[in-house]
Amino acid sequence: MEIKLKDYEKNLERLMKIVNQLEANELSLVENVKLYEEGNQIYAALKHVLEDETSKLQLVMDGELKPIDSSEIGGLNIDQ
Amino acid sequence: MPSVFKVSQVIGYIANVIKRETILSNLTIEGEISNFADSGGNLYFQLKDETASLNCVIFRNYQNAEMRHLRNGDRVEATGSITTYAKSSSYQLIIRSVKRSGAGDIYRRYLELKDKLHREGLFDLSIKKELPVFPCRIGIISSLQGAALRDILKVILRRYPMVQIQIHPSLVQGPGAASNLITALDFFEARREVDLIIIGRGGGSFEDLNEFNDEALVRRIHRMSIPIVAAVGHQVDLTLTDLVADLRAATPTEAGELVTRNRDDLVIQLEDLRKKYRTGLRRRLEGEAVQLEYARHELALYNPQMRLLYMEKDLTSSKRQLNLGIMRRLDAAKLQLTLLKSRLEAQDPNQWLQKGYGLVFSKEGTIKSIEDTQVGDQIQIRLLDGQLSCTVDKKEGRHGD
Repeated sequence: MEIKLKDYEKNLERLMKIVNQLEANELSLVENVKLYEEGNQIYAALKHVLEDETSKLQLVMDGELKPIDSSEIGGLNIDQ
Repeated sequence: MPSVFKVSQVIGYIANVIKRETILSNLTIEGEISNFADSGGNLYFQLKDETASLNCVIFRNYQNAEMRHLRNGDRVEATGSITTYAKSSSYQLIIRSVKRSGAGDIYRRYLELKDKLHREGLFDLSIKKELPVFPCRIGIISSLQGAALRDILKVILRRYPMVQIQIHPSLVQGPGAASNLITALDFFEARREVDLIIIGRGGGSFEDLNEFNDEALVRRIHRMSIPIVAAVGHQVDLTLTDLVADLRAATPTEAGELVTRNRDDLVIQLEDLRKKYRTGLRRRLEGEAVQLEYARHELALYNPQMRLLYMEKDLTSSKRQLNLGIMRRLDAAKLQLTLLKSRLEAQDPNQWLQKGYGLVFSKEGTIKSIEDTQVGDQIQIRLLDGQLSCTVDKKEGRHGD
């Protein structure tokens, strides 16, 4: 299971719903186990999203987006 | 008075003359500002008309926001008092209040435009667009050389490093800056890739920030479909861009914070949810285990083996009961038999034979009466030890019968 950052909120809401359902304890055990597994998958995928360190910086030059490194921005030292 | 004076004596005298002039101690002068300078927190400039100029100062204590927005060329009516400055033998107007006069000055135009756009509803809170909670792409419009861009990037990359950032460089002050900013907005609007745009620059004078009051720029921001966060200058600087933006940040750093969630908080939230759904299932399983144990007890009651055991027990008990009944019946029968036997024994002819009685009988059977036989008949008499064959000689009834 893979989740994009743009779907983070949607999946976070799904995970919250799963937690509520599991805490309400109104479903069958089989359904509960299924929910648990789904929750586990969403959790892992969301965690993966948060661990994505590959920030992509792009700079518009001559009307085109060019990938750059944060250190490339003139006079900027943003890594401190 | 002596004929020769010291310099300071003359200066002191003049100062006294001027101080005594009530007109000079409180007067209003109209003129145009020139040589405006901010030095040590005090504002220095000259008021001039076509032929003359007058040094003026507004000390820090008398300043207000509008005074700090004065600039060269503004026409004002300044009220204050004329004082002398002994060291340079000069005099100046110490200003206590300033009123703008004349038309066409920059601050006045700013106020008029603000009023107009406000009436048009461009600053209405009801039309503000909501920022996405988890932006994937953030656009930044700022100067590549400015500290603002560095501050924004620093905050965003620290808090929310998953995001993609597109930077559109732009002039942020001076002629052409507004149209430059509009070009950048057009770029992002046309591509529709970014979820929000931060437009900003660091602090500066009213003139420095004035391009952000440009009417075309403000209207462009108003028409954007992408949410705009403005971070122009500092808390005290309020441009029309700040007013028309969907969200206003007091500083570029704050803009970075407002548009991002802190990843550390997100991780904590996620771990918390995980703990909850794990606990949820564990509780459920524990509950099921208790139920299962209960069910096992219930089931044991209906175990066929147990029923067989019970049935066997019942059977044994019935058997015992049955035996008991039979025994009782047997005992009763035995008793009856004994009784019968003793009754039978009472009828045993031998006991009579022993006493000397004889049993008389013929071929026809037992002879109980003399009528049962005829004289001359052969009869048998059984005694204890054998029997006699006799012939009836005579019959005699008893007692004379």
